[in-house]
Formats: sequence, C-alpha cells, structure tokens
Amino acid sequence: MLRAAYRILRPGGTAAFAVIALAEGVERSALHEDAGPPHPETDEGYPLLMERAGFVDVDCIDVSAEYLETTTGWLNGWESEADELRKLVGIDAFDLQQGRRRQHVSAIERGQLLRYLVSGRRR
Amino acid sequence: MMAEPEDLIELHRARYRMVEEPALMRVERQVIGCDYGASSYTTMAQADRLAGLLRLGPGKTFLDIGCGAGWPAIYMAASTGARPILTDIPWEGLEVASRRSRRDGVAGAIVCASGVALPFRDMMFHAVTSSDVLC
Repeated sequence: MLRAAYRILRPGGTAAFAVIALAEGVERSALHEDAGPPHPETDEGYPLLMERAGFVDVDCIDVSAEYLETTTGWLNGWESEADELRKLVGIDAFDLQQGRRRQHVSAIERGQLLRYLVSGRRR
Repeated sequence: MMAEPEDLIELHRARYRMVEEPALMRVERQVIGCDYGASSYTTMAQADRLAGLLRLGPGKTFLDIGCGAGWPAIYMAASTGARPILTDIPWEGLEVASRRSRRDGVAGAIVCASGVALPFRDMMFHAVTSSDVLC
C-alpha cells in the first residue's frame, strides 16, 4: 500500500498515516489473539518501510498515550451504554466485543502495542 | 485465530449498518469528540495534526485510503477546504460517508477500491492519508 501511495502522490506531495505497531521485540504470538488489530508480517518499523517505498523526510510521532485513552474510552463508553448496545448488537456480540477491548487495553498498558503518526514526502 | 481479510470486511459491513444508531453516536462523541460513525482511535486533535502534516488547504486534493464511514477525512476537508477522495471496500461505510459529505457540504468523490490496487493515475494527489489501515 505504501508503494501505491507513493505512485499516486505528486512530487513534493505528503503522506501521513496513523498506524498501530507492535513494540520492538514483541512477537505477535506474545499478545492475546483478540488484542487489537492484526499486524503486518514484518519486523521493520513503518518509517523504514516508508523509506523503502521511496519516501523522504520521514517522521514518526508517538501517540501511544492517546491510543490508550481512546481504547479505554471505547471500552468504558460501551459499558455506559450497555443496556442499549446489548439490544442493538446482541448480548453475545456485546460481550465478545468488550472482551476484545479489555485485551486490547491490556496490551497497550503493557507497552506491547503502540500507535504512531508517520509521515513522509515524495521526492 | 486472527480474522481473515474477508471476515474483517464482513465485520466492518455489519458495523457500518448500525453506526448511526443514537447510542453509538453518544459513545463516539464521548470518546473521540465527533459523530461520523467511527470506531477510530484518531481523536479530533490528531485529525488536526494529520491535516497539518499533509499541508491541506484550498486547491489541494487528498486521498484517504480505507476511509470507513468518513472519519477523519470529511472533517479534515471541511476544516481546511481541501478536496477529499475517499476509498474503501465495504460499500455500507461509503454510503454513510456519502451522506455525511453531502450534509457537511464537502465536495469530493467516493470510490470503492482496495488500498493495494488504487485506481488512480500516477502523481494525481497532493496528499495521501489513512488511519489504522496499516496495522
């Protein structure tokens, strides 16, 4: 996808992506299977992947603290609307979703999952 | 087992069918400060930050890959004057995004396409973004 993004950018154009990544040294298998979104099969960080796709002036801003806040927010927000949302999505789906969110929050709290704003420019 | 791509798309389809329900909108406003039908981790402050990194403004055209129901691209377009092109696979999310674009008076385009096979000509965009697609 990074190569496709580079191709369609004008020279000097900018790409900026919000990305979720495994912390360095953390294997996907170390996380609970429901902990957060799936991850790419790469040990390399996104800045390096962007450089390999041709981007220059690559920058990376860590927004993991806000990531924990929003993920916890979704968990607590759904809990605060539990009666309504159980009716809407069904009891089993509600419990499954909230269980996943607890695993997700736990992985971020342990520093296993991070979130970045990664940007770069086409030459 | 991790969900397969097709399963994930189906999960998103099911979610987009109900994103405009009042209870979900209340939670979304509480968590990320907006009501676009998102389940994103991108807050309004981060959307502003992304728009700044992308140098969006009037006369600029930008692509959002994996736009979901339109957050944060429609917001970034409305707040900067840039023209958004939104792409994703689940049609249900694109319909929500289309309604919101019309409501916000954002003149862009919506294209059903995968991020790895973008149907656009070379060097067409001033900026490209995505939120939590690369993960």
